[in-house]
Amino acid sequence: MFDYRPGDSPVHLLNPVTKLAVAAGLTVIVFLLPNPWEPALIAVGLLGVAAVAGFPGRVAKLAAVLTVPLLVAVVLIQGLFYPGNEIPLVEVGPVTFWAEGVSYGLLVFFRVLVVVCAVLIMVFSTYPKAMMVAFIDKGLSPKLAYVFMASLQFVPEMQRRGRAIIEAQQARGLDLKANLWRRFQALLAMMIPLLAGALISVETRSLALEARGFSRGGLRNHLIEVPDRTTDRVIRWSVVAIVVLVAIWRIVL
Amino acid sequence: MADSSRQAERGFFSRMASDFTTRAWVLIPVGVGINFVGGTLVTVLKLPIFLDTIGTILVALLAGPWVAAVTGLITNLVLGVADPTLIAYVPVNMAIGLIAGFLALRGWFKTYPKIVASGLIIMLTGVILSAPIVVLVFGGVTSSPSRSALTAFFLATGSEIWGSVFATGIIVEVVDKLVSVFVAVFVARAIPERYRPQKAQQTL
Repeated sequence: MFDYRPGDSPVHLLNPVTKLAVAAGLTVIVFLLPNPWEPALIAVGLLGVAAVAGFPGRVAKLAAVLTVPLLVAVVLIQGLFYPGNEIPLVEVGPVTFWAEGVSYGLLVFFRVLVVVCAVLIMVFSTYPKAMMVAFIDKGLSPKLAYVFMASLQFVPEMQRRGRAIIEAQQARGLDLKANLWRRFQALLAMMIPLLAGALISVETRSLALEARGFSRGGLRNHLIEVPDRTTDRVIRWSVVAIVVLVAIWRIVL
Repeated sequence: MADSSRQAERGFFSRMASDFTTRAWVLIPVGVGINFVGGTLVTVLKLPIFLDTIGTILVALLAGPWVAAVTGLITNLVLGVADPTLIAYVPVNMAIGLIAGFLALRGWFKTYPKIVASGLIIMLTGVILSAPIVVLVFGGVTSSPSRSALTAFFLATGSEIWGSVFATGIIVEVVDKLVSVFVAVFVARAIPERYRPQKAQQTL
């Protein structure tokens, strides 16, 4: 799930809260900017950041897989049906693509691309435990942090269990190519053992957590320390300043 | 659990907090896992739906609205680690948890007609909340090509973007949410008495 790429680049050394702040700041900024080329430039810049961190190919590939279907759909739909369409761009038989719509479609695509790249860079360059420790240091509830981490680990485990149950049910005569109604019934035959097993482990887990003081209040120490450097604070305040400036520029002009 | 009885004073927030027992916290990752596996099973069985909120609805039945809302939040954040576009839909999954939980507390998952009604209410909640996200953030499209094609069809017949996205949402989601609700109820009923959380006595 959490595809962490270890490394010691400047991006890796940033505090996770700083990376989140940058990602959030960029999200606000790209949704304030009105022209497609502006978020496009930011996306190129982010690929540069990914290159510094040492995983440009990985970010580019995953971002492409996630956003190219969106690009095709949004440019088609907005190019054909954008309400402000006036200037024709291309005519294919009876169908006309309009300049304004294509431009708006590209704007949507590049906005999403920037957010996707920013989040992926944060995920790839941050050790998940360090991320949680940094957030708890900034006031996140340790319980929410636990639930996030536990879910990250639980999702692949549930998938493994799901696969095992599918095979077990197939061994008992489950037909994956039966008619629609049968396959809906098969869904229950898989869900029920999956959930029953998971709930039994809930019992054990909650006892184990309770034994380790899960519901106690008070201060907690962490096994790892996540430093918050001056660089981090400078970057965070610059992000805030830039967001405010862009907002003022957009509202005033 | 001991911590729930200690917080049994009156008041909105303490009642909310009393839902979050250690067992409820541990139930959340299970709900997240089921939300995810629902999607996998659908692919294996080649069913034409998503079933990506069964876990949220199930937690709503077993632990109430607030725990279910947190399940929705964590689901989209955790899956957002692999596909950041899902983070935009956090409010939708949280609202489904809240609505399903409140319906469950009022006994709307006890008889078949009411379960159908609950499914429709949950579907409408999802469609109403996701429409602004789809239109304003994603320009009217989703990552599912067939869904985008349906929206394009409505636009081509002369509807404007909001109506098209809304109509697409209802057509795509209605079967999905009805199946999700029924699967969640059947699965929750099939849980052995011994492992059933307390809240489930009230909701099922």
